[in-house]
Amino acid sequence: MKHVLIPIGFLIALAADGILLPAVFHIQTVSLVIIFLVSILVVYPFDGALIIWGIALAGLAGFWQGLPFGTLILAWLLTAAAWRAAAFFVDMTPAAETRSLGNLTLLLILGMFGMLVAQGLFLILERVFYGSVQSKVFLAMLRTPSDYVCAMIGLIFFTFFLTRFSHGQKLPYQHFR
Amino acid sequence: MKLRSSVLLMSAIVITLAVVGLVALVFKSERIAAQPFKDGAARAFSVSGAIRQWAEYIVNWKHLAQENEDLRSQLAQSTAALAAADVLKEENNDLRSALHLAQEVHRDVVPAGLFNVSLMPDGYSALINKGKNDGIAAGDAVVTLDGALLGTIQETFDDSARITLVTDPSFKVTVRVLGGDTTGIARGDLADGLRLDLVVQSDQISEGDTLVSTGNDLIPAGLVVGVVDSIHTNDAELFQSITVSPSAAFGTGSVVVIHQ
Repeated sequence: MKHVLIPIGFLIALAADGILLPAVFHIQTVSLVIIFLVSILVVYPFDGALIIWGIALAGLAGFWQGLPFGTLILAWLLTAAAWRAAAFFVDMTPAAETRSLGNLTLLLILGMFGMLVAQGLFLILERVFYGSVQSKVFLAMLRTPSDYVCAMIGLIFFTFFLTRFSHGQKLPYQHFR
Repeated sequence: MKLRSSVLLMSAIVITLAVVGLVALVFKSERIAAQPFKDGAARAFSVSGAIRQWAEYIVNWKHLAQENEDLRSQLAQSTAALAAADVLKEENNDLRSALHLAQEVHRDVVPAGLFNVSLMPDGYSALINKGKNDGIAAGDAVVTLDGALLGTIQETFDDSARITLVTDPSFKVTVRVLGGDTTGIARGDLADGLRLDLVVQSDQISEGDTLVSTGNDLIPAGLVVGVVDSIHTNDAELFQSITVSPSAAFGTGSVVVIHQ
């Protein structure tokens, strides 16, 4: 059961992003897919399995949402590299391995920055490789404080969701190692 | 371990960069974006929107119920205010009539409300809602707002008073024919109205004549008492037999008390 948390979370993000959030709650400026991709960086230790999960999910999300080929994968990989680089300077114990509230708060704040980095990278890559920024989903960057609050709520939700059943047990994605 | 994952990450970045660059180069910067599930996503969006609409309907129903309740409350308040305004309007009219009447009779008047009219065989009486505290005294005349004599004050209480109506057998008033010289004494005759006494056979009077008070007794002059209803003449008798229909209606309502 536990190893399906990541796919379930990803499906939730796909269903909510562009469908449930705008249709039901009129929230159109938050990209839950990117938030989810960042949240797996926040929750799980950085290793090869995580990179494979990220590439697969980013590819699927791009396919589902009709995004330019490879841009979301590349944006996530570069964000992951930045996350990895940040770990050299800050103690970033993954959320799945800590119960420290201070550490979780730091991770969530950095996660917000990571999300902004991912969004910015996506737009830059799309412009560099495909010459224009056409993706409607990502054109809506966070603008108002309420957008940031919604994004933070999404990040907290996925962090909470992915850390369920994790402590003291084998992590969900580690079943695929 | 960490080094291996870092190498893997760098490799993935380089490979992806190369693939994306190649694809972009081959397809000449055209956008390569397949979205095979867009129809399903559109349907899901539509269904979600419908769910939201239904939720809004439910919320609106709740608001409508609340709004309906508020409107009912406001309607009740408005009705109460309207009733109060109606009472004030009526009272204002009464006061205007009373003021007009006071100017006509040159005496002080007190507006009052008539209630508890009693038309019993032993006597006709009624109560008004003004009494000693308002300066009402026994013998004061009570008239309707259009100036018709209703009766006189028989007994006073602190905040109310009993009236002897004009049709009560104990009531009498000196009257004259309006526009004529014929005079007499009108007495109450219960259900028959009033009876006009002391009108000799030679006096000029006819059915339909209006009788007004003369002012020769305690009742002010010029008050309409009634209309001659029927006249029976008999040469064998000294006085005519005349019945009078009172002008005042004995229903409940506003009246004016004229001080002596």
